[in-house]
Amino acid sequence: MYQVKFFEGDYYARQLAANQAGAVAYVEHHFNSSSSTQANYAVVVVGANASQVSRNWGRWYAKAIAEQFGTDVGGDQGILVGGWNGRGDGNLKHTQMPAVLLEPLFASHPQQADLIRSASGQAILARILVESIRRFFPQGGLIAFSVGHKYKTSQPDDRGADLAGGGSEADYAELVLKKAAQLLTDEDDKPGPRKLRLMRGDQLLFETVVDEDAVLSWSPDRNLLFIPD
Amino acid sequence: MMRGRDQQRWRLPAMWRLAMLLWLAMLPGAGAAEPGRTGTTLRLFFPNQRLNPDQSDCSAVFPVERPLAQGQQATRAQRALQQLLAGPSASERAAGYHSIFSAASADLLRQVRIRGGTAYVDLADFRSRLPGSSSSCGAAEFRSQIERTLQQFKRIKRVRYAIEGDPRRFYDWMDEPCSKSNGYCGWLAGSQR
Repeated sequence: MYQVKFFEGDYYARQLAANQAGAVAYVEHHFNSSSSTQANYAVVVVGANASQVSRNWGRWYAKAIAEQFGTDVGGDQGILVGGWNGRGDGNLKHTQMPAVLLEPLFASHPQQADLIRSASGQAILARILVESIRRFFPQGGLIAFSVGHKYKTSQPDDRGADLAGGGSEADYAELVLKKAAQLLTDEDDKPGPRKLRLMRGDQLLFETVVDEDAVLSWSPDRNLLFIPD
Repeated sequence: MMRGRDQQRWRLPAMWRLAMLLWLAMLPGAGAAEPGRTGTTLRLFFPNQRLNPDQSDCSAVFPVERPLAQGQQATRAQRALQQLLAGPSASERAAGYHSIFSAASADLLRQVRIRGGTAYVDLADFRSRLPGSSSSCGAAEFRSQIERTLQQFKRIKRVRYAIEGDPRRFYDWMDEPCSKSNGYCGWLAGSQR
């Protein structure tokens, strides 16, 4: 149902190639960075010419990340339209399909850098990305992946921001996208009925089907998740 | 009567002279209008962890005052940028100021030229030294520090950048498309001298 292709070269060339390949969605993965070790929010850049689908997709993803990791959402409810001062707009604005540039965590934040380096953190990031794609592109199709700061013709040595404690943004963005690609194309992980999952880290503890329209409610005082009949 | 007419004839130019002086004093970049121009301090703008704790606005920067070293030939804008690119001092860091700039970036400034309200900032290749400067937050921090610091000089309205004399290299690094706002990645003739 889904095919995934990684696009390389300069960002403009990647977008044109994704257009020519007929991709239905375009994802460029980055991590954010600050000189403050406290900066702590999830944000998604969408092009200045972004469709409403791109905007909704970006907001959904940023909110899901923030809920998962207990962070804030940045920008305008999770998205920066056209990037900050145009930064990032060129990475997306030439696409002919919905496109997002993800900055889910801060490479400069020591705890978040640990998450980015960990296999479980990468798995969670990949899973949320896959859930977002399944939600916004349920018909399937070719998904274009682009690793930010890597495989650029003009700057082949670019790897993006340094992670606090070691490593480079681009190498870990690539790992997340590879895991997401595997999940998306995995035959056993095709979209089906709505499921409720209980997870510890990337380990699935419990899974059950719930009604599409059911409104789940969480009681923090009772530690109870209530599923109506 | 002749004397009165003479007085009147001379009084008008005196008023004009006064008006001219007032007009000159109000010109952008005129002495009293620029902070520190005739004084002994410069303002540098850095992010501050106490004043903007969660860094929710990465472009938020706050001023620190630095003494102006005497006897230097460099322009005030150049001196301000040189100090900015060396990052906050130990006491400023203790007060919560932080920056992507530090001693490791102190030598980045190649030149700054001001033409027609635009400061053209030419930097040494910083891309491997400041790899986080092209993230959305890092770029906002990078540019707001430089731009707010330069715009304390009222004749500077906008800032354009180059790496090793090449504007396109800077804007490519920042993932910023060439557009009207950055002069389509071009510099005015003469700004690179």
